[in-house]
Amino acid sequence: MRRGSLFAPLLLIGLGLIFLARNIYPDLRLLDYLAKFWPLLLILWGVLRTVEILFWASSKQPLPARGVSGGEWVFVILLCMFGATLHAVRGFAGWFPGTIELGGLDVFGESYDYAIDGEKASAKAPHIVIESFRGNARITGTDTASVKVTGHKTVRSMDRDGADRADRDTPLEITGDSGTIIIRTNQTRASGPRVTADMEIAVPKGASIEAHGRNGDFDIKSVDGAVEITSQHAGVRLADIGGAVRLDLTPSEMVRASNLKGSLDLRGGGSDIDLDNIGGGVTINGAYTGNVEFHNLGGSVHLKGPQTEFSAERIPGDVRMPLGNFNASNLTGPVHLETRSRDVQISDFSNALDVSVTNGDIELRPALPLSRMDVHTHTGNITLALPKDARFALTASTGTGEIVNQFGPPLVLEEARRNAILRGANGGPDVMLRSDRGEITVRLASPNEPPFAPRFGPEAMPKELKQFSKKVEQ
Amino acid sequence: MNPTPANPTPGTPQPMHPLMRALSGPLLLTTLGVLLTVDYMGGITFGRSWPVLLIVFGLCKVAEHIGPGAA
Repeated sequence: MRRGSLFAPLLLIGLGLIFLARNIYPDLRLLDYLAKFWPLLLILWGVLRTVEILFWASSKQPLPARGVSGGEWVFVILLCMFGATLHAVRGFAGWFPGTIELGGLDVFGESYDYAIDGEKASAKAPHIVIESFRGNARITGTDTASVKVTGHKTVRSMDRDGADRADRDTPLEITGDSGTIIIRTNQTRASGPRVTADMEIAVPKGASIEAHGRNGDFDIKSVDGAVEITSQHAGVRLADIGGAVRLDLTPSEMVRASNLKGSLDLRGGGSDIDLDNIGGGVTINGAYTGNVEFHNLGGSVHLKGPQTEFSAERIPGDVRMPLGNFNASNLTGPVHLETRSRDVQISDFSNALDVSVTNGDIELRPALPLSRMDVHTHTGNITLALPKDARFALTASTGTGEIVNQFGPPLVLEEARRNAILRGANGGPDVMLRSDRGEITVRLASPNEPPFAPRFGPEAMPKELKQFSKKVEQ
Repeated sequence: MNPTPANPTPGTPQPMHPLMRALSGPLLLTTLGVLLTVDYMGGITFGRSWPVLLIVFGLCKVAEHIGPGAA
């Protein structure tokens, strides 16, 4: 007797693994991965069924009349509709199946490249608008008083004639007056072939930039004015920007900014963020599931995601937030951190600290003089390492779990059957520690302890997924 | 999925090659998945590559007739 197909049980196992991953890493963007990779389910299903049928044939078992039954085809159609809708909703592309070409045998297209070139004189500090386009733009501030665009456009077409026609339909235009320059690629005019552009844009150093795009990277450097980018599916690199920066990216694979004099406002969501040496305030809104890193931020920082909220007055040191972790050293408070599922390690912080974790361990090593601390984890252990000369009024309590006092006096332990309280004061600020389910350890910090190293670097598991998704996007 | 008799009764019309007939569905499914993946990778859009499905389907039908064991 032939047994049923393996696909259904494997699908159940896969669903179980997906939900388990979601529970362990609530920040994981499962819908995005599903939106990108759902066609792999069809491949897996088809290959699995092929292997099954070949196995049945080789072991002389009766073969099904049809490898995929009518009911299964209905399921395939529903899956395609669901996947394509999700793909469109998550902002990756238009709705399946796009523009069907019935006319010819336009099956295997080729890429044709065309040079693009244009220049227009401008004021010394023009406002430059790049209208929506698909592709990459490298924008560099120079000492000239003109806007110069070079690069190439790629047309994917079946034949040279179609590509030539698409090239003629999509001329590069640089218009506007000297105060406001508009760069237009006219890509939407091409009917059928997919046109992308790779542009090198030299602008006056004093320029401000407003760019709209999709499916490409922006690389902007040495510009004194403000920068505003609205894009779907973009990576952004910024260096040496004088004005305020505003990025609206849904989603972004990577945002890297260094040496910004003004503020940075980032919204949308995506994967990696790496900010280094930012003079103004930083506001981040959205779910970022890759490796988020801050180094030397001179202004206030506010990060608000669905699972994590973090704010600090300044970050002279570093903050690293790989998936499932929050690792920081040298922060200027008040510092506020609220997160659902991260292990938190903070060393060398001043002013007030509020930490609230639903599920995760907390490890703290404050600098002298101690500041007010209010630290709470629902499920997880807390470890506090105090310098020898620390002054504090400490109250540590557990709901279920023991407390270990390795600091010694003036701390006094009161133990009950399941919970414990540790109290002690020597004339310092309030330090409140609370773990509902977990242990608390208060210990003496040894001098010259190195800062906490991230437990998981960007090389951790999700990176592989990220690299894969990057390849798919390219 | 109704099992096909492995040995048809003599005198009845010969069935097409059962293995190839069983494999055509999974092959089409795999092709569909590959075409959609290629589209999402930024390659040829499905709107242009869909005739490959017809080609694969046609090849499967041909193989049913001329495959090993077929009449």
